[in-house]
Amino acid sequence: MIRIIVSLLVVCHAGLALPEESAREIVQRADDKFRGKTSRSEMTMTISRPNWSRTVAMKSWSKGRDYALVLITAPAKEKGQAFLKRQNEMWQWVPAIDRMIKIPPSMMSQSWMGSDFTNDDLLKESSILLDYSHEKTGLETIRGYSCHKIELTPLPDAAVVWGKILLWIEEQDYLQIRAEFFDEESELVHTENFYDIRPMGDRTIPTRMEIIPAGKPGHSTTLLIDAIEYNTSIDDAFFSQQNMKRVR
Amino acid sequence: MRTLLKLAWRNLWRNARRTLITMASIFLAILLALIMRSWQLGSYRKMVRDVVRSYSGYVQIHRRGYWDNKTLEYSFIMADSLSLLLQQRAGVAGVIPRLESFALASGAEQTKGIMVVGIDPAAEHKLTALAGRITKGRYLSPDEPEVLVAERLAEFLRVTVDDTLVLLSQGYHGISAAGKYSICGLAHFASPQLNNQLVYIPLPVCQLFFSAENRLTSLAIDLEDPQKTAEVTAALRQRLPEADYEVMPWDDMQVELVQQIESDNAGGLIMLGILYVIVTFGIFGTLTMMIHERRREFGVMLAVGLRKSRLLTMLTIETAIMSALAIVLGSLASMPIIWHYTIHPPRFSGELAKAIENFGMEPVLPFLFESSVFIHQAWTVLILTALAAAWPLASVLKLRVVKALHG
Repeated sequence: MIRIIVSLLVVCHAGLALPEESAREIVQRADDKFRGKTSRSEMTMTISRPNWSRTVAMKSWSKGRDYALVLITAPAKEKGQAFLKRQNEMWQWVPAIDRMIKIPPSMMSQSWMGSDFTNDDLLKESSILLDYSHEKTGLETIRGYSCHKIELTPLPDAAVVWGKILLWIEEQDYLQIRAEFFDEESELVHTENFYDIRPMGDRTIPTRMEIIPAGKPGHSTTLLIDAIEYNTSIDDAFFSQQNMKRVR
Repeated sequence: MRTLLKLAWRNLWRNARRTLITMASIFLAILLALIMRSWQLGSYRKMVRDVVRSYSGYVQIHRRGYWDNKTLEYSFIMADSLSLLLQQRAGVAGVIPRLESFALASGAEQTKGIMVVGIDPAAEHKLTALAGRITKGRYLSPDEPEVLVAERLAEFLRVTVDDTLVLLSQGYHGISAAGKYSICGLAHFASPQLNNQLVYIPLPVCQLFFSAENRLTSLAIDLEDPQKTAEVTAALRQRLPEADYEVMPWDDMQVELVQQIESDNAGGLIMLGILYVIVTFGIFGTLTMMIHERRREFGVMLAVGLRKSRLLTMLTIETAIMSALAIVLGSLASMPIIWHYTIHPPRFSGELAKAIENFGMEPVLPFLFESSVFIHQAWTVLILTALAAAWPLASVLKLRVVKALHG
């Protein structure tokens, strides 16, 4: 309840503050742009470690903030595994053992598919819009892009893992260029960089995202968007446990 | 000197009862000390054997860093050259390859974190007698996709032979690992730690499961003579490139066991020490009494011109004969007892047996029949007798002839 009131207050406040764009609006526009109403995409994830690297290919579907489905298409050993997110719940389908596994909250901070992403990153249970207060801290130029630097501080009763998030969002097109995630002791946990901004589907977005955990030299995970289609119609029923087993 | 020897011998049997009493106290001392010590050392030997033989092996080889960070990323490729190099070492009885990691195991309803061990069934059996632990079903075959599950774990998961066990984990390089395996047998392990979490699976199947083709996490080494662990470890360390492999003897891996033995041994030595003190005073007492009883006799001998130093020599010879005889007889008497219990170790029963089993040990009292124990105890008791005899014998030197004669 408190969270709703707080977010309502934030919204109202943002509304009053026009014409100057609020930090929250900037974050919202960037988030909307990247997410779309629905999306269908094909992606490749490369996990890099000091002595090895491996690549996982996947297809992904999403609808709004509540529904997402990810299907692994390569390597052969992992092909057919699917992850489903519905609201706050997440399941994994493992065809090799014919099992549907519910991923419990305790495993949210575990690595996803051995990468530097956590299950929580995939689920995005916490919302960078609703669970944080947003504050503009000026303009900064990152790799030639003039960006709004925005500091996100978690709301007092929000169930989030981060102590602070810094976002750099490009001024003109609301593209996220960089994000830094800090823990409760204000220590950097990981950095996300967004590259290769080009037209994809009906919009221009960064098509390569790299996540670098702090203090682990040689570790990184890169996510490459090979193709993406925004705002096609996807039925809610598509995001079902039955469909996880069927989807190709 | 010959006369003294003859005198001493005759003196001993002149009052046979007194001699036998003194000898009995030494005899009992050596008997008790031997039985106690051989039982203590036997149980340590057995503890080590049990632990080493139940799982770890006397020596293990890993890729450097594995012991501190037991993940598949610290696995190594099993090259034929490595296997050959190990097999050819003197003292090595067998090389047992393993791939170990953790997984979630699930039966119909329950799920539990477990340890998966990929093994070569034949080699593993030679070291740990694994096939003998089977309580239901049969042993693994070399490359069938089957698993052997620890009894308690199977109970927890509510599965039994011919059921399906589902394993889920993360393999080499983070690849997801998932598989369904038929349970071919259940095995009992004395150690609850093992009995609650072990799942054995044929090595090639395990390597496929973890996407770690041809990789191992450890090589367990079986030795011809367990007492040569340190030597073989040193030799292997010299032969293997130090930057790539770590060679660990069992006492480095089983630190808890070593500490347990050390603390128990300290307690055992205190018990032994108390026994020694009691025995020493016993010997001291009988000798003092003997000297006192024979004051008059000594007085006469001194009066007829025997020098005190010769008297002392004679008494020393008497004591030496008595203690040597008693020690030999005591050792001989203990041998059949120790031998018997070495072959048929006494078993605990009831609650106590359960408690001991819960500590992961067989509820038996094993003895150790080894020459070193006998030699060690014989020397100790001999030295103790010498100490106990020193004062009573020396008191002869202070003997006043007249006073002694008058008794």
